[in-house]
Amino acid sequence: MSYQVPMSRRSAVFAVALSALVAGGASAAAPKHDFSVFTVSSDKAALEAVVAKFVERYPGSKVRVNAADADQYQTTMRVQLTSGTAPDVIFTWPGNGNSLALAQVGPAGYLSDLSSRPWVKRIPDKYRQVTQSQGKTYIVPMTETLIGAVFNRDVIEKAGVAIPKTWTEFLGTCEKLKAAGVTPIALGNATPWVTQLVDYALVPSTVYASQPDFDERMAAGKAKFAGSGWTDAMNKYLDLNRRGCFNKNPLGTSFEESLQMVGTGKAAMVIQVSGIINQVRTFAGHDRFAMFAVPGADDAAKVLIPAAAGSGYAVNAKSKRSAAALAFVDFLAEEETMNLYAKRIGSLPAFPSATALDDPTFAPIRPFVESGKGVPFMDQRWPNAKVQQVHFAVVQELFSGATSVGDALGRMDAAYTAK
Amino acid sequence: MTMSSPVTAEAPVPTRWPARSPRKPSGGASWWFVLPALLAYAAVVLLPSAGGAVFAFTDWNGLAPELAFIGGANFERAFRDPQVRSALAVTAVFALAITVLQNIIGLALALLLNTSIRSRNWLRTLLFAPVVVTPVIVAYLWKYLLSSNGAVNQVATALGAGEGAVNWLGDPRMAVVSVVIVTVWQTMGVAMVIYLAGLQNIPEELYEAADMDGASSWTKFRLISFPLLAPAVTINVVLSTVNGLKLFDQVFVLTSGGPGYATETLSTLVYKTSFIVGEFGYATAIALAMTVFVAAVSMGLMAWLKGREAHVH
Amino acid sequence: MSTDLHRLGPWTRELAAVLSTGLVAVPLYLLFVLSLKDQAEMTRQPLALPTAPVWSNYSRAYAEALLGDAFMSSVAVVLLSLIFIVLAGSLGAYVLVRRGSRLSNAIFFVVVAGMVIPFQLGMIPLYQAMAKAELVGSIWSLVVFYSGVQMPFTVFLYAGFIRAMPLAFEEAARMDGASGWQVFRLVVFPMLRPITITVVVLNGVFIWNDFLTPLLYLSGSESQTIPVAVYAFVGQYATDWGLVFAGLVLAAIPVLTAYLFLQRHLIAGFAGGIKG
Repeated sequence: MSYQVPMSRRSAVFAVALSALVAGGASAAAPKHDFSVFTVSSDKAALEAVVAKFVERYPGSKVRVNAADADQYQTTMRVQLTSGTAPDVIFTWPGNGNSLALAQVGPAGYLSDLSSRPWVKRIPDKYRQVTQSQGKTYIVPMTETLIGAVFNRDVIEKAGVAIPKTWTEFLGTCEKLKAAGVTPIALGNATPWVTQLVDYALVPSTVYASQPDFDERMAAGKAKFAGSGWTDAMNKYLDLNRRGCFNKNPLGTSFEESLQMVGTGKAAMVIQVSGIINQVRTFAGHDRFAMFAVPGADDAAKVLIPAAAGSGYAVNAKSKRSAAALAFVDFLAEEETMNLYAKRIGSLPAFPSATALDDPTFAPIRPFVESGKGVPFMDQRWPNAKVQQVHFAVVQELFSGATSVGDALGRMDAAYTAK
Repeated sequence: MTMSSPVTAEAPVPTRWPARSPRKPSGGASWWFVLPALLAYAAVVLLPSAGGAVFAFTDWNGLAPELAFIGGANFERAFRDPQVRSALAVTAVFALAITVLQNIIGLALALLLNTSIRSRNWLRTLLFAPVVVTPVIVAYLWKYLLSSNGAVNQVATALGAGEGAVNWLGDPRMAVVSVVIVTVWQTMGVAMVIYLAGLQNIPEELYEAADMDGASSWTKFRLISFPLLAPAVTINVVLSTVNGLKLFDQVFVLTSGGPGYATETLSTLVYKTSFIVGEFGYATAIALAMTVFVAAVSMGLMAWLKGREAHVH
Repeated sequence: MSTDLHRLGPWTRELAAVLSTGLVAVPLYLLFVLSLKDQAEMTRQPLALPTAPVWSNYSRAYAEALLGDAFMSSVAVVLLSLIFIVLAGSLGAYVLVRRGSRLSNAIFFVVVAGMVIPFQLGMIPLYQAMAKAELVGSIWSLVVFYSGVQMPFTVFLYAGFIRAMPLAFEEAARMDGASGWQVFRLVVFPMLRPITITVVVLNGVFIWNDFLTPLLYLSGSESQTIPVAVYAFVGQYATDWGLVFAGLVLAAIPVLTAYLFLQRHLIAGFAGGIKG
């Protein structure tokens, strides 16, 4: 879906006006906004960067920033929300599908309804649904996260491979890389959340290309994982393993090790979320990395990519400092803020921005984003958090040979319909 | 400063005061004294646990303001749930493996140390050190050591095994082994120290008498050391079993219950079901069942071992 | 001291000693050595001593993991909890044992049975109660928690010891006209010293190293204890192993130091107390 240029110009004007107001009113003190915000560890640096800017605009504001690892975050936040001790602004996952997604937490009354905030109109249509539950908007989405193959430019160039546009080409790339003595794809399946990513990279092409309304059909009980394009995706996933496209022992390799492999050039690429690109750069000491779309189909026109609102911030409904919280959330929605945040993470901003897409890192995958070939992450449309957990576990079991694709999908179906 | 002499398990029966004594009953041990302990225990353990247990009969997801009572449905579901059964099996395996290994190694180390304790104080200190280090720290250390490119595999590769020799944490069966190794590495010191204390309580004369009869090392062990270690065996076995049954920190850090569900224990399952999947009512039902299981096993074990102790004496 | 392994011969014993030393020493050695390596060296030669020690790992780890504050919190929690646990536990066990009535035995059983209750059962209701009392985020939440949760084990330990104590001293004191409280304070409690050491050691180590409960109550607050700080720190910097290990070493140093000084007591505590 193309972004609307007038919008960004308008918000630029708005930002200028605001800063003029603030600068002009330096003697008339800008209000102080004290509040606390909690986020996941992966976003901490980005959050701190935008908080610094916020404090510049509202000098004297005291902002407490806390972060926790995703699993720990979910646990702590759930307990804190139930007992009313949660911070004022909290990181929330868009859509549904995990225990701290807005669809789980918002309708239960824990998040403030943000529907009347000025920036709600600017939420891209493709993300509108995952920022809402039962018609109310609960979060400001911050990043557009893509899943694709993050590759080491040096390695790819040295092996003389081209960016594959179809599945067959992708397999060919894998063979060429193997011949060049390099691990084609680093895979860190010891870390549970990594296991889902290759499936996610393939499913848009194998499922949604022919059935864009797959999620609605599943919700209505007219479709299931078993017997759908998911079978094809999982078989492709396992096929890659059989062909030796992954490193040895993916189940014994952690997420961090997989990044290290790509960073040091031992592996050519890793299929990951865009947010990890900065980490890979740290491992490598250089930034010659880019991301291309994993072609899950043999018809290049049918290739779709996973692109979703990756993170968002909501306001605690029971917050006693809602004025400050709302001011911060509005601040987050500004183009400059969002771009800064996204850049710190290494993703794209959720509100489209021409400048962000100019980053050469995203050059290979840019056409997909611009022509709207993105599909939200599958879990954002699932009705409960259990399906995702089962998905993690069955992928690990598939890799250890403890289960079959049919059985795996059957268990995901059972989790989908569980109460 | 000498080591405090261990209180043996065979304590004399306390004297019973007459029910109504002319002076203050029980030598002045007023009921008030027990109040702080009881209050703390009731407020922190009993009442919340009872409250929590109530949730086992609901479908609460831990967040929503409403919940519904669903009777014993959670328990029925747990009974039929393959994940629960698998976690139960894994928990039992852990408890068994940890108990056996910890006790064998602990006993062996105790025997070793007992031979010349004076010169081996540093060894005892070293071998006990892992016990006091935070389990989370130990688990992270081993997580790295056992990773496919970690120190252990690097040594194995250097010794001739292929690259990425053993899939310590990625292979379902090896993952179980790895968790056991890490846990036993940390806690074998406890068993060692208890056995050592037990050994040092055995009177020299018994060994001397056996020597005079020309008994071999093995005979001495079989007929003197081992039987007289019975109380130590009881404590060690019960302790390591209960710890094994409740195992959490190491699994949480090393494998998160994976790969798949290969190392998922009842503890980690309850945790995940409560907080990550968000089925709090169901998780509490599992926790309740787990409590009963642990209680039954530990009490049964305790009774059997105590019986054995008495028999030996 | 002649025992069974005596006849195995010095060779085997030495070998066993060396092996067991290595078993424990090598991982600990690696913990220290790896904390001083940078990324590249970690993968190339993990086992050798670091060629260019990266001391900055330590300063960064200290700063990022906020270990100074965490240390203070851990110390505070342990000390405050122990005070309550020792006093209330010894008093409680004393009553329950000396009374010897069916009621006191029943109460004793109920208290000690608490040892098998998994913490997850009461976790949420307790958290809500603490939240209403506005204790969440403060170390007092943990002090209260440990005071309650460690009571069964503590009472169990004290009871075992008290049962074996001769009544003569207490009776003598009573005959001298001492009140119940004075008997306890001046006669019983001093005699409990050996087991109190055990109680302090075992509870102290457990509380210091406890992870999940502080995670719930203090996560992200300024008062988080060391295990929580470590977990958060590792979660955030998982890709930088050298830094992570430096953090682990720093976090382990307090306990290891205390251990080196107090190891006789610690070991005696574990050995003696548990047997009781």
